[in-house]
Amino acid sequence: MNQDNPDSEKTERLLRQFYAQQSKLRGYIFSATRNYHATEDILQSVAIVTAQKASSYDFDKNPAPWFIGIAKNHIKKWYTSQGRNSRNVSLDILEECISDYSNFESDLIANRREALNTCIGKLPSKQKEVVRLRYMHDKSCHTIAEELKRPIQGIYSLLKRLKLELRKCVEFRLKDMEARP
Amino acid sequence: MKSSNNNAHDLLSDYFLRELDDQELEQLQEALKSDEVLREEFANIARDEWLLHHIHSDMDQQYVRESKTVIIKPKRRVFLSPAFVAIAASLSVAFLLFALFVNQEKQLTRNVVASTTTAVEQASIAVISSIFTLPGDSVVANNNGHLRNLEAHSELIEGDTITLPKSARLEFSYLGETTTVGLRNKSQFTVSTVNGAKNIYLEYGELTADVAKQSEGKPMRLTTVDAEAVVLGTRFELQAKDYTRLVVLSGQVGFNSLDAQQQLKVNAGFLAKSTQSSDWKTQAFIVQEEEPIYNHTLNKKKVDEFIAIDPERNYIGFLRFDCKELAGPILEARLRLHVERYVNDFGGRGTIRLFRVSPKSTIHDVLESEMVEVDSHHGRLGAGMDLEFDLSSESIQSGINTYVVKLDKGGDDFWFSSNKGNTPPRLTIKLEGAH
Repeated sequence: MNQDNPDSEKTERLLRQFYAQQSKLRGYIFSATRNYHATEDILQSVAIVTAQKASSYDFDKNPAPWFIGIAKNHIKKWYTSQGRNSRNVSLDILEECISDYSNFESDLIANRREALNTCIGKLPSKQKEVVRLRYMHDKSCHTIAEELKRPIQGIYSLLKRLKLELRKCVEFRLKDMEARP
Repeated sequence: MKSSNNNAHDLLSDYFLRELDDQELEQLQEALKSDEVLREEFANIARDEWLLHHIHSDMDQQYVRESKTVIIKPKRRVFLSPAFVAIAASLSVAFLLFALFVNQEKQLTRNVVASTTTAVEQASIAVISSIFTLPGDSVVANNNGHLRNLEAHSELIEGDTITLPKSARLEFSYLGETTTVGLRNKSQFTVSTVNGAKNIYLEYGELTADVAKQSEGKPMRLTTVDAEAVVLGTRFELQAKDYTRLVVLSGQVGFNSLDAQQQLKVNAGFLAKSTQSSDWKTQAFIVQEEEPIYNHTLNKKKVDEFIAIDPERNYIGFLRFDCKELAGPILEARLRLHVERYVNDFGGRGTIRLFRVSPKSTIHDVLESEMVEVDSHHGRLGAGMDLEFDLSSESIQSGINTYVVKLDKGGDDFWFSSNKGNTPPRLTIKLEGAH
């Protein structure tokens, strides 16, 4: 890439701004789609549009609302492609949560990820199996209930309880990590 | 109050587990609007849920890599560290923005061919011979999360996923041979090689290729979401929409469903289309190309080479074609207009519609006559771009066909090449029937 190319410089500058916002956008998109792979695809599409439009972008403007606008369009397209009626929290309300999604920042996530891995490892095997079906195989609670021949309400309760326990375990381990010299 | 708060907390968790009913969703939204603490908890639950998926997605990827059986597997991209990006920028690595996982693993991106090597280790496999975008747009290559702008003479490397914006065109040639591939409009594709054989995955869009003879046992493969074309040397068009369509112009191309249930050999002059049913067929076609027969009187001549869509001409342009006797049922018809610069670069904007009108219509009576909309284009125009309209079989008949190109009020003027210009309008009709 030509370093003197002003378009490339603009693209680089705008992409840096995008990456600074990426974690919050990830939280926003994930809350809208509740689908991990769709979230990553949409984020990627936003990055591509950002790069494509950088040469004509007005840098006097705050790009954050623009990134959200692009993400919104892609989320809507995804809804359409899924044929989903919108049983999702409205995108406007999710926009009000944007600052809260700073909890997706990579430096905060890194330790949490490590702690969560350890905590999952400590789950009893039956609970681990439910977690695996839900999160590795992307199965709905309904399908899990059928496969395990358990009532669906039981699966909901199990997953809710399990996630609370994992949260407690993770918080404990994070404090433990902090306390270490 | 406490119980309604508990209920809202339950709904936060439930939202990520199941579909809420209307009443529950309304209740959750009201709570989120009014309660800051609840919003924070909502974001925490979203983060925990995402992280559970993220950890297991990594495990899934490891499983795929270890199994070594999956050829086509969309990989997923995860984290980019802003700190790392800043360092990369400060080192003046001009445009490459490096990415990494939070756990220092390599970043995974959407990529169709199983390849575990990174972009920076890859050699060039092709070079861009020409590229067209509207001002302000650019074509971007994404390689394992490394994004870069493409220009004429840019090289394509193993695993590049290239996205063309609307109205863009790109042509590239493989290194060391004469194989050329062209893409246009909104298209996305990935280039790679497997054991020396060329692969292109067309996610969506339109592709044309002129493939030089490939080494025996190493055919070029072009894959879409449901089909693949296997090529040893030929010229063809491939379209990936809700279906895949292959049009072979010379040579022979294998056309297979990805589950290998359907396997066709498509010869020159034949096309094939993927369908949900189990009986994919080839269809013979012939191509009829027409240029407009008459335009200056109708279009109020200003300059020979152009047809102007502007206020002086009521924002309309006329096109009249003599299709003579159509030799068979229409499979596809497309009208291409080449947008031109006249004095200034007219960057049109708005909705441009193509109407079919009575064959005998003139500029004096067309606004009173019946106009049937055939197709439309919404968005920007710019000199050098091809404006294309798809025509249904009902909108063409044997003999004279007259069309009006009309710009919605509020749109900008634009000019396109007339049949006296450099790139005349062209109506291309594919008809059923053998040569």
